[in-house]
Amino acid sequence: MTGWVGLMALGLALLLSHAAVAAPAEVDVALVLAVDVSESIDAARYALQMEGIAAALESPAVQNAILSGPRQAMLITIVQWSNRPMVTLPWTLLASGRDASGIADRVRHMKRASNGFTCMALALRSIGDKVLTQLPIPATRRVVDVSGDGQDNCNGPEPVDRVRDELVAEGVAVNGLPILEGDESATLEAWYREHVVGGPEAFLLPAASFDDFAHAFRRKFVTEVSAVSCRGCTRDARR
Amino acid sequence: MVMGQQPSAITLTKGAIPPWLFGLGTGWRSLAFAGYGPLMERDGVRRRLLVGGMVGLSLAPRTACGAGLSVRQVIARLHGPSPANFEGADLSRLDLADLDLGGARLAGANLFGADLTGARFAGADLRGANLDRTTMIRADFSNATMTGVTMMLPAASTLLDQNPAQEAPIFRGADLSFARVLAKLGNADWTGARLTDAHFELGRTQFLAALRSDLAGCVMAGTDLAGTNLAGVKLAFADLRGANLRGANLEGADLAGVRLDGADLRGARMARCDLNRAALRGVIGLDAAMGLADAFNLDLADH
Repeated sequence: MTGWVGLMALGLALLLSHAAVAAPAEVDVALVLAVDVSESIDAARYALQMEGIAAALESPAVQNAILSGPRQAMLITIVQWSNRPMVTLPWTLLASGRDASGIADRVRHMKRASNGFTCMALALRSIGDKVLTQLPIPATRRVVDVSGDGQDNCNGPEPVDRVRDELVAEGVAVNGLPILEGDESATLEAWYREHVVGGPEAFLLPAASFDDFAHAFRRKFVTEVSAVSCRGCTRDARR
Repeated sequence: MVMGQQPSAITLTKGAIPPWLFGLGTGWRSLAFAGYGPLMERDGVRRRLLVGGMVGLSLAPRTACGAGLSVRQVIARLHGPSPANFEGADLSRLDLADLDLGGARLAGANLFGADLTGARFAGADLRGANLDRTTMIRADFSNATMTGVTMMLPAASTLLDQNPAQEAPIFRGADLSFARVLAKLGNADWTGARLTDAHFELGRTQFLAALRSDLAGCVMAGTDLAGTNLAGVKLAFADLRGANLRGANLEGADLAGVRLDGADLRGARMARCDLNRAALRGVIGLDAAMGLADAFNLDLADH
């Protein structure tokens, strides 16, 4: 009798462990966090950005929002961009508070990829061509969050608008999170609105300063993730 | 023709023979021809015209942007059947940075000007591929088959990193036999690579003669450099311990501080190379190396 109970317990444990690791067939959102690490982002500002993302992921409100979607799961990746973009967190499944905490820990210890110019168009091109095309699981929505404290100054082969428009045409939402601190603080919000933000239910959510980044990022996360459950009810597509 | 005089009519003579090609030549992706044209008569004088011309063999230049695959198509193939096949494909100027092309079939592919930063080509087949003007910072070519590739003027460093070795591409165990290279690839890892009969300099034209390949500080222990042309190449402080340099051309090479312990130099050509502080202990066939008497600073070498 004890043997049967043991076997049943083992079977149940196996079933639960399988359920815990099994990936969903589809996720609510595939989210690219495109983080500016250009020259103007010094070490302290970089740390504030990373801490802001980590703290947002650990926030109960954010975790509730993530788990409130129809599939209760999302994919997240982080692309640090400056002279060139670099994926510093590959596509990772976020389907529980534990997943969120694990990602937050990785974000806090994430090594800075580079610094230099603000090559946003190059970053968006790379995200469109090489990141969003390599989703491990299909996603209902594909979202790119661009945060930074300056306009594109890379003088690259194509303007930000063109790349943004191509992403939007493919159904990708590009949200803007400009950090209004520094030389371009007076004009950056308008520039992001004009050149960066676009797509279904996309929004612009400026952070007043780097100190405000964590708060803004948390709001952004909740707004963004909860869009699945209230699609079309609160916002207009900007383009 | 005198001013004011009406031009004479030129008429094709009846029975004129069709143009007959007497000259034919091929150039860079073009075909030139010349020959006698049809027989003509002008002012009662019969002449045969000389005609000539050039025909392009391809409408698009070899390195045309957008003529080949797109980055998305490349990624789609990478997610398709393995190994991904890019044989003969035009991948010129594509942003392939950080992509994993390990084991892919790229024989004859044109990668001119492509960004290969951080890309992985481990075990890939790159025979005869064009890697000219690529950006290959931190690119990994470990154990790749790269026979006959061309690597003219690639960018392998941003020149900004404090530790250049971290930016250098990796050629560990790769086969670059018969490769043609003109590049600054200092501090690259070539451990166990095969470079037999590779050419590391051109020196044939006045323009390119001023440029020398730079392999300074490279890790090349145990590499097979038999018959390789390293004339004039900067190899200062490179690690060539145990390397096979039989019949290699090292004339005029900068071998200052190079570590050649246990290397095989039988039949190597060493005239005018700089051996300042080179480590030559246990070198095989140093006495038989050609032109050693004309080498610089042999007395300062450690042997």
